[in-house]
Amino acid sequence: MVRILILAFLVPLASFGQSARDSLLATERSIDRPITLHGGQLRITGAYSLAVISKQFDENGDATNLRDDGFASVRHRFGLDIKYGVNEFVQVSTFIHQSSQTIRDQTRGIFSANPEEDPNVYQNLSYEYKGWEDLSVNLDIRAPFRTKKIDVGLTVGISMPTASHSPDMPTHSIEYTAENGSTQYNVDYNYHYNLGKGVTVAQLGGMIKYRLPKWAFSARVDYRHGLQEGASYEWKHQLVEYEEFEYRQEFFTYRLPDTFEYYGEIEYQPLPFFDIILNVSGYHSQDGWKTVGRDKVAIPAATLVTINPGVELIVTPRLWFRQKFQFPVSGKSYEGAYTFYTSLIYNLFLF
Amino acid sequence: MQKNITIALLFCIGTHVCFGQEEMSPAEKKQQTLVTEPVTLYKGFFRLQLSTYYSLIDKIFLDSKKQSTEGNSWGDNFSVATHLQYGISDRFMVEASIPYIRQRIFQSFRYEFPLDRNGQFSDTTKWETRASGMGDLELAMGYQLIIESPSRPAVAAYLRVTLPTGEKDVTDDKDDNPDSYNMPTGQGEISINPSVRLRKVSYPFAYGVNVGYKFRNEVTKITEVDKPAVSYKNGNLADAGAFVNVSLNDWVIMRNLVDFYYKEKDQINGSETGDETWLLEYVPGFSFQLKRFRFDQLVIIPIKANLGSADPSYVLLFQYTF
Repeated sequence: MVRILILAFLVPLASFGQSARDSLLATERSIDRPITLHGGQLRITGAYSLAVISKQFDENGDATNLRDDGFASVRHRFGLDIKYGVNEFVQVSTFIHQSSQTIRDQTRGIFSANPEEDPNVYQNLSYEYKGWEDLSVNLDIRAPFRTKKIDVGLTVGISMPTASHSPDMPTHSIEYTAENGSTQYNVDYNYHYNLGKGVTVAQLGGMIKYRLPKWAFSARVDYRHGLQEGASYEWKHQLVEYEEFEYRQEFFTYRLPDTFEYYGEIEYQPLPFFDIILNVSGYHSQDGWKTVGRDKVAIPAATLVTINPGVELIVTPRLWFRQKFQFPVSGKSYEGAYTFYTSLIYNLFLF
Repeated sequence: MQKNITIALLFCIGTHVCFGQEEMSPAEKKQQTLVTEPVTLYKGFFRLQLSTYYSLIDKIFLDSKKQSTEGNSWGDNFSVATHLQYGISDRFMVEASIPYIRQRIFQSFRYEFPLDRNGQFSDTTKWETRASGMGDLELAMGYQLIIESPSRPAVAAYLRVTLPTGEKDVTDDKDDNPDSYNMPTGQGEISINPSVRLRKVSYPFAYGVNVGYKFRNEVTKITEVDKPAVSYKNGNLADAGAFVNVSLNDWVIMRNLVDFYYKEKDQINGSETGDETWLLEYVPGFSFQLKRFRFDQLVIIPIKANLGSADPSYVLLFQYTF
């Protein structure tokens, strides 16, 4: 419910008094906006995305349809993004997300040759990924060109390990039943993971935007690098007396993969309040590793390319509404998620 | 003194004539938004609406908490309904709607059998359960009992009747897997659903409440493949809701609805089965009015429930008033 309020609280803000500088927002179409905020401008974005993860790309780039085997899952993600324009060329921003996803594995039935003596066993596995993600802070600087046709910007940022990154203790359970002379164990393995990265991650990015009267073309690239190695643990379990589970932590160290994210975007503005967006995005990660015992095991390099059409509506000069769909096109060692984004964006001038 | 009163009365009447009785043209009426339009359609107006509904079957409410179901079943539910609305008078409207339904549930199971002391046989079986086809026809009528005025809300009564036009039986899908079958797209029942709605406009807000109760009859249908038909009665359904819609500008409305449903236990061959269920949901959304065309987006978010899906559902509405 609290997450719904992230979106809901933005709307009453629309009734706040107008300032003289709001005329800037009233006359500025989506494609006209500079890539950093105006000086004194505050922008608050509440966002929600629903991802249906029904595809998995393997290391060769072949896609497996998870849905057919019943492995598909859903990810709900809420975000809050606050930006402030220090002046016409410098902007600071901070953003945080909360997310939840549960992946359920196949039920596995292990049948006994002699169920009167050895029980049949039914195993269910679930992996829950839930919680806050790390808080990020960025600084954007825009080149002071005289022309409004082109914008170039640079981003430096940092993601701080504010969220829990080690997994919570599992909540496995076992239930014993006896019926018609045969015995059966129902075992549920429930793992719970948090979504923090556990290390500080630095970001360096750049963006360019070129405008025509009704069109805008932009491109962006971001590189992220973990500044240190991380340490965490996995939970191992042991069944005690066929009644309850005991857990112990098995420690490991890791290095987050370096990531490159990039996109190219075309915007068409047929009406002053309506903007159509076509975005092609890419993701690539490499050079990560994790220790398994005394060995250091490489995390496979991963790639993903998506096509993302969307629209933006200027509801009032201060309040904007944006929606976007994401379709996975190709990838390697990565999930293919069909994602639906909705965001409400509120702008005001503080001074 | 009398002169002053006369002037004051004349002023009031004049104001009323100038501001209260301003007539809108039919074209303007057709472009009214969700906030400004009356609770029933104007006389002679015809409205075509397409509504789409999409939901996922991932988590359910169990013990009043959102939980994953056991195993790895996964499903989705999609329907498109066509609605035809007509205003017989400024207070009385009728509606007919028929949905097309597509539902799919996927599941797989891995089993291992011992062969001898040294080996075992293992394999994976997977199956898909589908529903696809036309659903049940719904006929509705609505009458404005009280027309809204500055001092009182509009009150309208609606009556919805569902007729069993969709497939009511579970049917075999002719494959070898006994767990795989075709689900029905209809309930097989005739239901009657009277409801009352109160609404007050205080621009830019429109707010109100609605209550309703759905009576359902008993029907003979097949609920399991290769099993005889049973007499089945879905539990009657009560619902109550409150809404606040806000005009963000002349053509964008933010919608907010809180709804509560309570369903009695189902009955098989006269005996109660399953549990009573209830659901509290919040439905935020946006309505975009572009001339005579209206486009609405809604998300149905289950807040608390006893049984039932715990995942949000998406609703898109496309309307055009002729």
